[in-house]
Amino acid sequence: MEQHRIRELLDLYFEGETTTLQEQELKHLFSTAESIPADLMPYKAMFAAFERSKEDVPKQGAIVKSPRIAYRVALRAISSIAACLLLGVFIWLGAKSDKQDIVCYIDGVEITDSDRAMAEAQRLMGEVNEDIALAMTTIENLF
Amino acid sequence: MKTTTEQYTELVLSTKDTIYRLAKSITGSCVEAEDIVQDIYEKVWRARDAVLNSRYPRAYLCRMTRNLAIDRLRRRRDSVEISDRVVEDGNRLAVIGDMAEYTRQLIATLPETQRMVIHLRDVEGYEIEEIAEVLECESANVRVYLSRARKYVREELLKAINYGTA
Repeated sequence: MEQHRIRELLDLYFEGETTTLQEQELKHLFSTAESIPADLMPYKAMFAAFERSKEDVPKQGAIVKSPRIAYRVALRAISSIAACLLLGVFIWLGAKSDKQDIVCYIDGVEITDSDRAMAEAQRLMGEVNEDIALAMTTIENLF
Repeated sequence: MKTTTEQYTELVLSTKDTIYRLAKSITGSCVEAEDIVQDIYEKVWRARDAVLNSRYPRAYLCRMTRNLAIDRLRRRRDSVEISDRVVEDGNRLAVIGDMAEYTRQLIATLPETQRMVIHLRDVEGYEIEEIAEVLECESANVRVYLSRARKYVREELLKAINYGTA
């Protein structure tokens, strides 16, 4: 009876017509059947291979230990913080200078609009927050 | 209501092994697969809104993984040599009777799309519609790829057994 059902499901399986439920049934039948005829052994091996593949997972901590992501995220966060500080200094210098119309420089361009300077500072702060969130999520919480 | 970070964390935790295995099945390298996992989750964070709002987020991730792994393979340009070596070693393994291991090595020699389909379906248990989303093709095509891949593995296994008993 079991063998008959296995053969029936295998016909559908090799045509790519089985549902996930039928495939689970097939796996179950292969793993629990008391005796499997010799001609069905290759199929049992196929399902055993799929189960074995599932055990293939990254080594514990392998992803955290790789310095690349931490290095890249840290570098980006530090760059963003440095850019914010630099922008702050420029804004402060601009406010102190005699040329009151220049607030700061962004990419070498004089900015005279304090609202735009503030928006740029906020944008950079947003990037910093995003990078820090990514670093915290990826490195501390996930692996 | 979960925050974006919570949703992202959940997605990563539920998919990291799959992404690793998928990357490894394409590149054939554990180190490269670990590297791809890092790259993928960084990219996912950058595109988190698109990923989390997609119909099948894990399919979206698999598609990203596939593209990245293929890019790396192209850069490496030695995938053909690896496949050939696997076939030769596999024949020897079949003779000594480790059919399950031989099956895994046969799958590694399949064309990339078939390998991806059989991996996502038979190892990861994905629905046909999700695999179609990953491959950006019709479900009917996925079934064709799946059937071809399974039949190829079956035929090679039977050949190896006949060779071993001849």
